Amino acid sequence: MTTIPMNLRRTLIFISLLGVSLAAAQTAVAGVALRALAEVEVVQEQPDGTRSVQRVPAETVVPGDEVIYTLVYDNQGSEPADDIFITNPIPEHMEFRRAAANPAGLETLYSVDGGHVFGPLSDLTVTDSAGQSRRALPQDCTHIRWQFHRSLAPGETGQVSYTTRLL
Amino acid sequence: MTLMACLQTSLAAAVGTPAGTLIQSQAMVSYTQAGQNMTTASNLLSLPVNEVLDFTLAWQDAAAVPVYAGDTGAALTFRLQNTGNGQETFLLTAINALAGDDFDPLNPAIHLDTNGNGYYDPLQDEIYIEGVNDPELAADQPLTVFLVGIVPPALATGDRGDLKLAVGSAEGYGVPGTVVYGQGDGGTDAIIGLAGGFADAVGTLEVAAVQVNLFKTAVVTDTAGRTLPGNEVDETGLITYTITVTVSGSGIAHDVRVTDPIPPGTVYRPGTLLLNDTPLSDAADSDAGDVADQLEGAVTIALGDMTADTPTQRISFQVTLE
Repeated sequence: MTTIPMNLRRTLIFISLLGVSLAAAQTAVAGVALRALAEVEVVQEQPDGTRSVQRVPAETVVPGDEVIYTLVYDNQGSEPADDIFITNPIPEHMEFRRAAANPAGLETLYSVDGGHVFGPLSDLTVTDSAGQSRRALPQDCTHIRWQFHRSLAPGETGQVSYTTRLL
Repeated sequence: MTLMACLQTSLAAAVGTPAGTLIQSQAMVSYTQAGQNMTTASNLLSLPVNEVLDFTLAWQDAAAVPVYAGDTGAALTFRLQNTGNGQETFLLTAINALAGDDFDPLNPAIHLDTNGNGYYDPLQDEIYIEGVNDPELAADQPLTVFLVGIVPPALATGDRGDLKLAVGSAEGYGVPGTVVYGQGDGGTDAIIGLAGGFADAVGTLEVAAVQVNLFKTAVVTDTAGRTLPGNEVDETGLITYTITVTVSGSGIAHDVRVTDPIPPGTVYRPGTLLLNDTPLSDAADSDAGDVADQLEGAVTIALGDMTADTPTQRISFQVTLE
């Protein structure tokens, strides 16, 4: 079996992608790639009066808008990936609302202190302006993290998602 | 399509992140692969915040403002507040021809609360002229606006006249959720808020019955006229009482007569009775006042007929301790 060194393998893939798209080449490397999407839900009224909800890419926002962030992970390498953590700071001016259900084997963790301590939200506390400690609420979150309790096989993809609201 | 999204989610909470802000997000993934620790960043997402055009307008007076027939300075107070997330310019209009009231206040004018004290000051609060001093308000900033009109003569007590203040956003108006391209702060798009870029509010003036108002003050001085601290008086002190008399409402108050008993334990100081700074004799004679002559132990002043247009009448006299 021939093993291509990691750095060479990266170069090879970089070259092969150059022919396809320069923009894609900036984010896609061998190993686990991560693609972020921001979407909003819009209600469309049909001619018969019924309404349906659709997700469309977010282009602009106004205060009060809910934005759904989705992170698509993709093991583009030829080896399984382990000990995977995906971490996303909650964007400034945004308030965390809720996380979507996870794929099997993933756990959602939160930080309310700028990314120092992560844990289940119910384990976290914050100190209010009067110096009193209280249980953390979704809007206290500064970071959201997904911990994988499983390997990601070569070629395997999936996604995690959470919803925020613009203050 | 985006229009509906705005209606659903955002227009209820207007004040917020300033228009033009970029909302950025980037995630990281860390993992081990083939024995190596790796970290990779996602693409960077960047969403510009558009401007929401929104504001509130409300009449502020707790009840109909009392005026009298012929009143030239009747003022109604309104509060305009920019509840959008960007700087906004407003156009104002006063409307006096309204259905359902008894009279139309004449020559309606709009004054801005230039000195910011919340009260109408005719000499300081500049008159509004469209296109000249259209108010510009930052996000969340309020402005007090006055509607001033002339009350016609010959009205009955209880007659009511309405004035309407109409306010529009200079950046656009229309169905809530409408996008006005490029009109937001910093080149963003503006989105019409719940007010639709337009609001109006009506205030009411009511002709009140004639009413005489008395206001009395006491100042303690020594014989040299120096004010004594704490208004404490001893046997060398003088107390100067001043009574101001005004009339409000409509109509004529006939034969206004003010009587004020000399307080027990004090003695009237002869020759100190003044009406509008002019001395009056203590005897009941041809002038307007007397002391203890018409009514024992009291000051009596006859002011004759008064209306709301009569200048304030000021009566004063001095007493010493017994």
